[in-house]
Amino acid sequence: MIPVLLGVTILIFTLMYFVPGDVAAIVLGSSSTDVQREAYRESMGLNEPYIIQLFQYIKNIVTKLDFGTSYIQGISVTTALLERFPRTLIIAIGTVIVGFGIGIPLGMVAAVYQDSLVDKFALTVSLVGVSMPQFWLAEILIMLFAVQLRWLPSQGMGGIEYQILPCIANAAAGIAGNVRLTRSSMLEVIRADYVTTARSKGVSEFNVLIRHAFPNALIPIVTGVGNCFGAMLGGTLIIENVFGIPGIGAYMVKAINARDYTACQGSVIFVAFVFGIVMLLVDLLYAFIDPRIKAQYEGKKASKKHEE
Amino acid sequence: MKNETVKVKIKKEKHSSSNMLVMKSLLKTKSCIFGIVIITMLVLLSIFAPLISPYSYTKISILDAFATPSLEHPCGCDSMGRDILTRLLYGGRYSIGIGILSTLLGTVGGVLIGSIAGFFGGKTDLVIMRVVDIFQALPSILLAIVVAAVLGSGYIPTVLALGVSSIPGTVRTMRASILTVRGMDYVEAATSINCKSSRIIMNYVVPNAMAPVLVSISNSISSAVLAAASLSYIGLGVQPPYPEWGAMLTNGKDYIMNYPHLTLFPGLFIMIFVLAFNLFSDALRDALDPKLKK
Amino acid sequence: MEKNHQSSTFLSVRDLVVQYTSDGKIVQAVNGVSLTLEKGKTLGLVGETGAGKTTTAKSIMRILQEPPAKIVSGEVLLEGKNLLTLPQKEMRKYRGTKISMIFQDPMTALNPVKRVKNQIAEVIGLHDKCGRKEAGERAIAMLEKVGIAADRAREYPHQFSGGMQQRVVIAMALACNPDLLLADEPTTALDVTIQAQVLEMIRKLQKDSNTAMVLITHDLGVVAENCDHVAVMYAGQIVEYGSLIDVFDHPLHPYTRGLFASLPKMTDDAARLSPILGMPPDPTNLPVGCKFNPRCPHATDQCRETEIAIEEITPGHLCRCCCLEKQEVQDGIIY
Repeated sequence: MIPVLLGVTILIFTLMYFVPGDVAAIVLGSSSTDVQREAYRESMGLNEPYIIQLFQYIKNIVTKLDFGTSYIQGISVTTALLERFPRTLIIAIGTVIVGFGIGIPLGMVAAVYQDSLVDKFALTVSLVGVSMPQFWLAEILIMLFAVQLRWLPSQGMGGIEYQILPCIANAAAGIAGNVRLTRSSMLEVIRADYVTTARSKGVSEFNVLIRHAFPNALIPIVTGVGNCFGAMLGGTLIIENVFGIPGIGAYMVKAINARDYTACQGSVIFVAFVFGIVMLLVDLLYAFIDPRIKAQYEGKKASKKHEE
Repeated sequence: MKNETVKVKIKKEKHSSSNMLVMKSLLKTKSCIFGIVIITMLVLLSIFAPLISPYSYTKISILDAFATPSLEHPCGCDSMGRDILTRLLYGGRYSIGIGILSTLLGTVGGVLIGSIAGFFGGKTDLVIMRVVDIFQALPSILLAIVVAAVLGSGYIPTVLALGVSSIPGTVRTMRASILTVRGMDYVEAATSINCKSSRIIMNYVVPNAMAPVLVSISNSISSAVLAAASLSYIGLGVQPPYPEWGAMLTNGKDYIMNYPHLTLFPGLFIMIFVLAFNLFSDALRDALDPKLKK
Repeated sequence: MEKNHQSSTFLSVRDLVVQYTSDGKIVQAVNGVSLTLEKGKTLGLVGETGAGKTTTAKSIMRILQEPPAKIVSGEVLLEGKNLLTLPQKEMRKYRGTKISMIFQDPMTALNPVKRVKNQIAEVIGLHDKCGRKEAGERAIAMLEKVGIAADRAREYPHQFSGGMQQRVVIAMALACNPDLLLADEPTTALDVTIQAQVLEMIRKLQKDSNTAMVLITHDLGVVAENCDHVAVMYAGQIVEYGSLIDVFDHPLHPYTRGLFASLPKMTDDAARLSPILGMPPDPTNLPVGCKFNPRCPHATDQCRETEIAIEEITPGHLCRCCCLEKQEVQDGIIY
């Protein structure tokens, strides 16, 4: 994971480094003189060669967790990110809970009652769900629940009522994806021989599904969790802008539009870090669910021990 | 007698190639035909927009500003009095174009790089896959945002941003698929009858490895249209006054409280297009993967 | 005599008809199968792939996937009770205890994410209402009975070889001392060297608990070694039924004869085997009349037009063929 994150850092830094445009001109405004700009560049270390700057940047992140200082705001990017991160995290976690909490059970029911009305309903909902731009759904939800019905607030932060709409809007695609994934993997598993074996043992239909079929169906679902989480995290970045939640996404978008490259690259790398940690957790979960994978890990450990 | 005709039928079926079977299966699925019809309709509408609409998509008419849907303006008018339906029809050229071009870029790039990694293996594979890992350490929309931020807003930058961000996924799909196919017994069988390796690649590996990629192409067009809308919403991608669907949505969001039709119709167009494509790609996936069929 | 025969009938299947729907077509998998089995005896169910053997067995346990499968008509009587009309809840009490099944492919018959011990303990815990611990201990004892060391009980199926997996399946099937064992090609997926071991073990365990067994196979050698009675299936029907000696020494139906003729013989020095010509019929479009008529060398117009009933030719030896006498004339004396 560490080499990957290092790679991401280099990649993003390089991309931002070669973006056309003069930082000094952006910061000091178009009325500034060449001398002023040159002095600014010198003071910010922007005249150093690319390699030195890159090295300095990575060193600061590794040793001090310092993502530099925002050109525009003059505030430490790390401070800004840490302050905003919990808000994004809450939405992301809420989205994951809604997405999996609704998607997986609905997908299971759809698979068990294949071709029934429930199944058709679930498939239609999920098809529509993946076909909508999320921020559009968010706008429509705001119109409906905040403006028309006045049940929930439309903007800003606060108690849990502020999180409901963002989470639902953001989870729509996740729900849809999970329904389809769960349904198809359940359908495959339901027909497996070991499910018939379980039935032939006299296990009740409910337990056949929950104890025998579902743990196997989970394996492909967990594989999808990573992608799904990526989409949810990405969606959170967008959805924050709709609901005026000052999280990482809103920060990043503001930075991009203001050409505040330090803030922008800092937030992208930060998101990559978070994403990397989640993917690591997913891998561990995967090994936990599938004994065949666990055996591989244990095998590795055992062979390592052996080498020692 | 009856038996003989049956035998003849069976023989005939065996002769039709697997491509034909996929086509047949696709055309049998109602939802797929529905999807294809809608896609074709939207594409034709956007191509022939000037013939269909009596309005210009750029002409500003302050009198008509925010006009609600009526017979003259079925979807109403936007903040500058431009007919929304007309703009949506022209907008198809942008949105669908972005979807197709970026997918083309992503697929060509992905298939090429993925094939190289899959065929050559070893160090080449290792290096390519590490780079792909790095790209995939970012959620794909974030990658698109970064590339778009670097390239700036506009039509071509958006195509590039979405295309580039879809390459890593395609590389992975293609490589995995090639590795699977290479391990198949029929490839070994072909090797054992002394088939030339170029012939094995062209006749055995590529056709069989393409199936997952075809599905991903179809999926990627619809997700590119969605992502393009997201990009323009956050101020990247195609920006107003261009009538790209996402840009129109963005334009409407400021007036959503009083004039929701400015937001509603562009969103519906995106949804219908993406929905149609999803119907098509679902049917395609089922047709290509017989395991999922009942 | 008649009464005595009735009372010892343990399992009796009558006129079982099962269909599948696939792509809108109806697959006629089982077309009126009737068979009986006495306690402690073994019936061999022989036939080609697709003859309806597995479907028959699964219908007895009612574990067919419905839909697409559908039991259209018929009765399955176990000790006089019709299993097909039992409510699901009652039926579950039969599965695993009274009737259990050994599946063809042990690789897929075991749940890959559960430890083998737990898979066996589950069936014990379900039916004998004992605690987790006791069920676990009995599961381990059962594993040892089939020759798997206790210290491997906590492993997962993928850590076992095919033969070991099949032993686990057998341990699971026999854990609650069932009265009826349905063994669906228990050795087909195994190496030849393991096949004999596994069969030997099944036979031993069967003898220990006086279990009746339906042994499904297409291996005539397996039948000869294990079965008391033999039923030959073709296109969802039993075409010949009788004791092992009846069927093996005096095969009546042209299909059965064809089966034997297509086996290589140690004694003959024939250059070529004589296969049965043609292909098994398409189950969505079965031939009219005798299902075997398109491949039968003796087929007459009657065979092509009317359904042929199964008849008792000699006591206890039944055959579904209308050309028997003619054949007798052609072939000389059968008996």
